[in-house]
Amino acid sequence: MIDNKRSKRLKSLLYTVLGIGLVIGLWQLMALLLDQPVIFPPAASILSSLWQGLTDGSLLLRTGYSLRLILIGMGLSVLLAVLLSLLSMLIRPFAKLSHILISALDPLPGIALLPVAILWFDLGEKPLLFVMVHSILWPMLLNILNGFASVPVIYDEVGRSIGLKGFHLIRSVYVPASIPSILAGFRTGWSRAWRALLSSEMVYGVIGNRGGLGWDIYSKKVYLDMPGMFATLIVIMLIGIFIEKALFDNIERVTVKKWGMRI
Amino acid sequence: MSLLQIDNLSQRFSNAGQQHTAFSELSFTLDAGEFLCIIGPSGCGKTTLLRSIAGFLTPSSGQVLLNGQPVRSPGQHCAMIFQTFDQLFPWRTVLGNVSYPLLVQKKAANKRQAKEQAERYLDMVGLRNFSSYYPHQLSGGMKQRVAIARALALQPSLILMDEPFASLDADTRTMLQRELKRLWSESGLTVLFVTHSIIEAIALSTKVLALGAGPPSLRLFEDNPVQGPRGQLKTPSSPGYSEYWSKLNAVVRP
Repeated sequence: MIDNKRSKRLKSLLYTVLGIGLVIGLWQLMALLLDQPVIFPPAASILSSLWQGLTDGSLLLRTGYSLRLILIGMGLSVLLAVLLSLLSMLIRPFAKLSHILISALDPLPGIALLPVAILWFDLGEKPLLFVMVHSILWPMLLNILNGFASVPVIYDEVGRSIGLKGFHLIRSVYVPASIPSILAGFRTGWSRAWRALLSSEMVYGVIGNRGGLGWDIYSKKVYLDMPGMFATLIVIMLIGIFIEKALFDNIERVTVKKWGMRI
Repeated sequence: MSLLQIDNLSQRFSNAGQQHTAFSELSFTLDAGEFLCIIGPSGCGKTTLLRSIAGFLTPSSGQVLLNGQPVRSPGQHCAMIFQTFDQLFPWRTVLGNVSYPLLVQKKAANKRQAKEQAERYLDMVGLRNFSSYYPHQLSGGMKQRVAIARALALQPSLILMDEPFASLDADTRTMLQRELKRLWSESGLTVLFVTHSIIEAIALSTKVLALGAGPPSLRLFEDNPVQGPRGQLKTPSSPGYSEYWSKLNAVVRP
């Protein structure tokens, strides 16, 4: 049983390595065929730029700065989403208000709010966080509320018949029953956070105290540092893969998958 | 005083401007320790009656009194067992499904006590070895047994069962009927049991209530005349079985 699991894990690792190798190989082939290293840099120069950025610390510093902002943005958004979803469940008219807010504000791109945010909060981290929370909150809230709305009636009735009411019913029945939707909301929020942060930095340069990965790409563009830009993109993708595998996959494994719930 | 008193109870719904009466002007009383089976054709309001007693529905008129107190909302006064196998929380183990309600209703002082109590009732339904399983790992019959254990463990004044065995195969159904009858006779519970099956009603009940298209909705409410050994199912070989089957059949399917 354990051997089986280990061999499965090895197999999946092997496929991942093979997949990455294949992509790098094809990239290198394209670079050779095109033979325009400034526009389409060879894989080796991208990797060496990545290595240099990681070892001299410049890329790590910017990654750390972006991650810090994203985590603060996610934290604030989760707090607000929990608060708004609870109010929507406990007070009927509030649910209507939430849905109106979502349908009005969710389609509004965060970047469109950046000029307003800068005038309100002045330059610094505050306008960035404002735009990020706006980008994360609405899809997250929408997913949570949709999850609550599609909880099977039988769970609600069983919960009430054993004596659960109000907040306790939501915490002990609605939340576990909606975990697939809640996770979908977190995933969407996570990717929206990256989009909001990077686009803000690229349009307005350094808005925060220091530059993050968006600023990194922007400043590398000025120097036509093509390998460096791709190196930064690779860092963003690696973080995405890491969070998906280390966080979301594990949460799913110990919840919905273990409980036999459909995802 | 009777345990349960139904007073002139009616349930009406309006759907798309049309008034629909589930049942009307229903009155009866039930003493503690009885096993009442509610029968009647589809759509005669059996489930609606059960849901009104559970407190899920507010009566259109009349009232439900349990121990003399009007029932206003679902909760601790009675435990409900549904037909669907999905009535267990998939995110809790078998043990958790039984012990958690004990903690909610403060019928156990702490988690350890709740666990011990839950294990005792899982033992009664023969599922002690499945305590750590999750519901999706159980068969339909096992899930219904867990639901029965969950209800019994709460020791409610009244257990309401809405066709709990209707989706099971015949063998499992008979086995669970037998178990339920044994548990009922051992525990002194009061059970209201909705069923489509006249055979099931005769086999299990001490009293029978038949509903029909109203008004009046109440067609029959009487002691089950078929006698059997206490704690066991009544079978076609029990004296008076065939006569009573014919009588109920004529009431339910005129």
